[in-house]
Amino acid sequence: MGRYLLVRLYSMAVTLLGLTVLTFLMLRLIPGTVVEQMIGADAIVSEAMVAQLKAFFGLDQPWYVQYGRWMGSLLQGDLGTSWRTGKPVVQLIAERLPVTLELTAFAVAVAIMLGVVAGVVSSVRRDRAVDNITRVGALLGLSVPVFWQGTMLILFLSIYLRWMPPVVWVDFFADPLRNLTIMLLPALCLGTASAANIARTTRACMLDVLGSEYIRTAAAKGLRPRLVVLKHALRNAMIPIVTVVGLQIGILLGGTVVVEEVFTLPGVGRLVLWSIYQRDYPLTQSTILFVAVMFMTVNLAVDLLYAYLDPRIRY
Amino acid sequence: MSAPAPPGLLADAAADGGLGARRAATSRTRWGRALRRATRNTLVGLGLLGALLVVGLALFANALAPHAPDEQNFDLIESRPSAAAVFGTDRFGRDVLSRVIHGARISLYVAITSIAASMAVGGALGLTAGYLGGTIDNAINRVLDVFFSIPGLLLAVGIAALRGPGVNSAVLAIAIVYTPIFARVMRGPVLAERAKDYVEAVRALGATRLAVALKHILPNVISPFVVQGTVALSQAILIEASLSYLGLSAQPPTPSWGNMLNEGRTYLETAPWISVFPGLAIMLTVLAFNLIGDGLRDVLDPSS
Repeated sequence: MGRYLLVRLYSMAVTLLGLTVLTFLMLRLIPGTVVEQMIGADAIVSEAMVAQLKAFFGLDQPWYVQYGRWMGSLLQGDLGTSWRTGKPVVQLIAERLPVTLELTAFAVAVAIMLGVVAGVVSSVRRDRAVDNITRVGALLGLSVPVFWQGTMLILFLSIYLRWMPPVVWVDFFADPLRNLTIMLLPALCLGTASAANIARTTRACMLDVLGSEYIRTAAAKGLRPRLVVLKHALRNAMIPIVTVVGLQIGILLGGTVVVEEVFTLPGVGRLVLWSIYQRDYPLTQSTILFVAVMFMTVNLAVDLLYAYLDPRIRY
Repeated sequence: MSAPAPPGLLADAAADGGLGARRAATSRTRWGRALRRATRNTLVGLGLLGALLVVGLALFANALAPHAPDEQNFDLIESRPSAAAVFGTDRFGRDVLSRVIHGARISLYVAITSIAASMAVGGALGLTAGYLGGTIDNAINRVLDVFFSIPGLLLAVGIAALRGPGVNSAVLAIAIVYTPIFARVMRGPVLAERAKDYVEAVRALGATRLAVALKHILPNVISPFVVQGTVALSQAILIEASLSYLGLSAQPPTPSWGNMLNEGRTYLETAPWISVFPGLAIMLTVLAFNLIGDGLRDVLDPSS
């Protein structure tokens, strides 16, 4: 296990190094820099002034010098300073990370609760009405665009229930109840597709397990059906389900960018998008790197969880 | 490098006079059988019907749409669905039905182009990596890892935002997200196939590496790849809609389902139909492709 972890961490480091080169070059290949963004399209500014501003941001240096400087500060644990806000990148990420993490965590909870329950019920009641409804529901869940679902939910709530969910963001610690009310719809929208995926996998795995000999034995020796399903079947169907849940956490982490934009939540996804529009290179580069580290850590954690859940797996 | 071809009958076979043709014929019948089995399923049939309908709408949008997508009718501003405008009109008096029909073009164009490009590039990379192995496999995999290190949707949004709004940005963004996925989907089965005896046999008969990879290995690993393609197509439609919604794909006044939803969000209280119909169009189209993907997977790739 220790050796496996070392290999994975090494491979993560190599990938991150590749990612630094990729993001750095991609940002420099696109037209426009922070200077043009700051000046604006219509402003009349002298060439000398533009050159001076570029020199201020180090944009007059060759790309390898700029890259070297960024890597130098990264290695010292410094993610840099945002050009547009003047604030340290770490501070900007720290301000927005709780929103993204809360949204992802809620969405994962929604996805697991809905997905596993629907999948288990569907498999136990195979080919009955509830199974068919769940299967069609799962297919619809996979097909609905997250932003449209959000719009329709708001429409339904405001027109039929005359309840408009609050749209102005409030921090959890400032007003927990209001914060949770705000998060309800985004988490539901973000989690729907994942719930559908989890439900489908759970159903398939449960059907597989429910058909095995030991389940028949358990039922034959008179165990209560609930016990057979939950303790004997679900436990053994868990590994593929955990795989899908793990994959979904990563997908949900990425999906937050759209949901944050739709519900105007101040999360990391919107920060990345804003920094790209502003050509705020240090902010874009370091935030993307940060998201990648989070994403890869989740994937690694899921892989390690297998070994814990299934003693047959040895790394 | 390939060994010199042995003379005579075997060389002909290796050059795919007989062996390859037979293999191709078997592959064709297998596909035909699979497709027939898939279409017998009611749900797949429904999916095919839906997909054909959307493709038809996109191809014949000019003939089918009651109005031009940007034609304004000042007598019908934000008019609710009625006989005059079945899906209602928007704030400029444009017919929502006509815009939904024309919107199918952008969705399908972006989805099909980007997935075709990523299947071609990803497939080639996966086949090369899996078949050649060694340093090349390692190098390709390390590069793919970099793309896998960022969540897909964020990568797509990031690339489109970097390149600036436009249909081509959306195509590029989705193609970049899916290329590594297709490379992985191709590489795994190629690795397994490469170790089989028949590959060694055809190589011994003098077939070049390229011929072995394209004519012998590829037909045997293509099924899961195609299944992944149909599933990816539905996801690409969803991603395009997201990009459009964020203002990163087709730009107004060109109608796309995503940008119609974005425009409609301001008028949600007064004219919800502007938002309802494009969303339904996205959902039903994606559903159709998902049904096809599911059916094909059951038939072609039972292991999954």
